[in-house]
Amino acid sequence: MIEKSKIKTKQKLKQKKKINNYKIFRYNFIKQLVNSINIKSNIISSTGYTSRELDNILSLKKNLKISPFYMVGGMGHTASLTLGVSLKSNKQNICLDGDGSLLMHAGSLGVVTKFGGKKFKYILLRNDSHESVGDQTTNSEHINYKMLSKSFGFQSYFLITNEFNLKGVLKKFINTSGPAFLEVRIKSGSINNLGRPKNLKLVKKNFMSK
Amino acid sequence: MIYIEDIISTLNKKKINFFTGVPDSILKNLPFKLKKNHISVNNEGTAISLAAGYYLATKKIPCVYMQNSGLGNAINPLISITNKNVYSIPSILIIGWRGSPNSKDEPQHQAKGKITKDILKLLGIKHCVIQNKKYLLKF
Repeated sequence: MIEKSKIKTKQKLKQKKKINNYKIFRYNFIKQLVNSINIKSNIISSTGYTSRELDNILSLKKNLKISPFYMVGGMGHTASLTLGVSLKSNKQNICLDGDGSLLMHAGSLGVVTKFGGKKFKYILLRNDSHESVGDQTTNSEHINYKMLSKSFGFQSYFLITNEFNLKGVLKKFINTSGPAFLEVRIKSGSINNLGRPKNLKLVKKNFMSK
Repeated sequence: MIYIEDIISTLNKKKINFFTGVPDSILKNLPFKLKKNHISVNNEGTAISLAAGYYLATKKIPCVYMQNSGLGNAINPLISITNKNVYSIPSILIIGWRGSPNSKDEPQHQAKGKITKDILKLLGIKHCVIQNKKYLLKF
């Protein structure tokens, strides 16, 4: 076991190779997403930068009364928790997940599509890396998520690869009957001084009282 | 001896009507005795997370069942999502205890059976062993 700040490399790492050639910054996608959904929607976001960026975006838009649930732990269980919420909710149920998280417990996608219902929307923010812990590869760049989502029972699959198809495809995805799967190809990079969600009890209270 | 029907009816009386989990050899007839409001899932971490989501949407306490061998899969969401120091999300766990001290079982079950109570203690999960209806009512 090794504690934080007690380990480093002797030689500085050479410039890391770019993980992917994707084009959309996650922060920009999430900004567009919150402007496109019904504010009463249930939105559950995964571990990593996703929850942190969503929290940052909402803190800057005080008039947008969206109350998400942040998976501050339980990596790989974003979809399962969203499924639990969706069972007894008549709102849109949006799962905002990463590929590292999807792959960790991918088998849960089967129950998710079987019981998730027409309002279940799964968004995969695909950067093929564990960005928030150092941008290491998830060894998944060859995975075909269109086939994967179909095999697991999603009724439809959508893909966003650049700023030009972002708005249109997102709108179609949100309006479609679920369970639906949206893959968004994400360029590595976040904002400076990104904080973390504070006061988890309040996050829970706000989510439950929508 | 404890009867599955009694477990279900006792929980139902306490308004605990939703069940999820991974089937277990000790609790093997539980899934067949549950009617609706029941989802059998792929792993125990999924079950804990699904149950947590259910609680968030309904404010009702769910029930998660598993074999103790699956506790390992459940630890992550139990300690980093539902734990009282994180989001404090309640649920009832029914855990089949393979490799319990008075039983003779395969090495993989004996090993886990020995440490099951310790794991629950470390996770801050109150627990008791149900041997008959009296214990159940006390619980």
